[in-house]
Amino acid sequence: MSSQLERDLSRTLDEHATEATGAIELQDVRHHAHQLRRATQRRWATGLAAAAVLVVAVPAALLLPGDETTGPVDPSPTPTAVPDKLPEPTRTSAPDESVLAELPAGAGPNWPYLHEGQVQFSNGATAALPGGAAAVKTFVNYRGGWLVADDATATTTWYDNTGAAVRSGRGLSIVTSSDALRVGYLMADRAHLGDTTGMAEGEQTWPTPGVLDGLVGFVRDGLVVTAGGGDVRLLAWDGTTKAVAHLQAATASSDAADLVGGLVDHDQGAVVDLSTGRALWTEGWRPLAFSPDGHLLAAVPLADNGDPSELAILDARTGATVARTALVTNRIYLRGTPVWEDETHLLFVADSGPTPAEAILRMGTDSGLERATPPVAGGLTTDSAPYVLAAGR
Amino acid sequence: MSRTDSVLGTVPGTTGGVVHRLNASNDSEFAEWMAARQGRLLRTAYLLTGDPHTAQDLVQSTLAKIYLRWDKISDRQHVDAYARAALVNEHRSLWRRPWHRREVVSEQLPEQAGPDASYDGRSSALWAYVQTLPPRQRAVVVLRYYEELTEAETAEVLGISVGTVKSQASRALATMRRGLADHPELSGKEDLS
Repeated sequence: MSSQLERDLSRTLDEHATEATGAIELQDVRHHAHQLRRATQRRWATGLAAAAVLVVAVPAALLLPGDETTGPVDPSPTPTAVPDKLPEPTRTSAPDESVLAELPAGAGPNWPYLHEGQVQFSNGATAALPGGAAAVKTFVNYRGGWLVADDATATTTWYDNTGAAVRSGRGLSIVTSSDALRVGYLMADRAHLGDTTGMAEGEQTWPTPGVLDGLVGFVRDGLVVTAGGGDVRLLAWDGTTKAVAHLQAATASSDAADLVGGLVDHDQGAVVDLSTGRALWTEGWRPLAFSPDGHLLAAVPLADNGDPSELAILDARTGATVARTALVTNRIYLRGTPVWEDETHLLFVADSGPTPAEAILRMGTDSGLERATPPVAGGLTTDSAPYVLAAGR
Repeated sequence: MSRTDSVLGTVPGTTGGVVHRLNASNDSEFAEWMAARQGRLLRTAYLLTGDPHTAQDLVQSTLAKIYLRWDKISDRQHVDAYARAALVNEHRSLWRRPWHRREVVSEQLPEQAGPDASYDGRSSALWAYVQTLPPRQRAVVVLRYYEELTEAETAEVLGISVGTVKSQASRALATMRRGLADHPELSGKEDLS
């Protein structure tokens, strides 16, 4: 520590650290541990159930949660098992007092999701997700196998069609193009982009700056928007980067409409039209996900301190509110990023109280809210995620 | 009532129900360690979050995870380092939530700094800047300049390269230096050079 600034900074931190208040009781810690233990036990059950239905041996691989780890790639495609009917969730159903149980039940999600270690497809097909599904943040079907981002280890792993790990490394970003044909992901300080179904052709990869927080999504020219360190950049196919004006952080993008949504300061969100470089609007919304055609935008209020009070669907180009639904006042807590099921419907995972439960919900442009899956016990803790939606577009 | 509170109120355990417990010896040992270390963890958590209530939630969650693993932590000498890493990782999981408000760097000196020529003014300005740093930069700053970890130790805790630690710290310091330079009354000699 050499400079006066560094010394003053150290002294400043020492002084302000004393502002920390409160005391934690051992009883509260025990109770919190108990909750975590119960969630973990459910996850173990999930892993065992997944292992039981695996019909191929999964080669063991030592995956260190540090630098990228590689293995051989099997280029053959993966046929997924298609059962006669969509299996019912095996997790204990949430008690009736769950507010999720009071919502009308709609059709199942027309979007892949993970439940009980199995990826459920809208056509009824299922496939076991490799890796034990310990703390999956998001995932996507990739080149006959899977890309899985694991929150517990902050790593992303590419599994081939046998469940063997092809490559693994730090990173938690997986993004897909609106046509679902391209995937971008972050692994070991490199951005990787490839065609979803590509086999022979390789991926394009680029080293990424150390300040990179993650990939946000695709834009029209095949660029991936990156954000980190207080700025927003486009990562071009040739590896060059350029700044996106107006935004200090990016949170959503649309390749169909060439739009980027993000934050302009602490409590203002905005959408920038990359074709003109102009900010289309600035409001107190945090952009979350553009609809596939880029006409609509899912957003939550930036003024909320904690869980979002509502979920809104905005006109992407004007910021006008198309639909909105209250969340916290209904004891519904948004978990993860919503995905667009089609041009007019959003899917999102929600926790609820008073009894912890979780379900995938559907919100339409008519503000209607319904359940797309049965509510199951769980949720409300970081370690418990009964449902995980596949990476959105 | 926080979201966590609302859940705790409905689950057996808060009023003497059955909860997970270590054996008596380990439970006592954990209690002793927790009593000695929770203050430091709370202070670090406060610097990471800037909010005492969030810091308390963060530390409680971290302690719960350590409690569950206490039997398996054979090397008690390293438990403090383990706890610090767990705390930072827990914080990382919080700010990665998609709706979490992302703190951004401001080019403007925060208002609360004020034109105070005293050290207090400079300290307030620095603290205000720390609170506007992006999460990873802030974590690097806290670990380097409060926890006084080396660059290598910081890299290990955050799971990033030493080069990234250097660049993150450099960017944070550069931001502060630029802001202070705009207010000569708050600048030190080295800041103006």
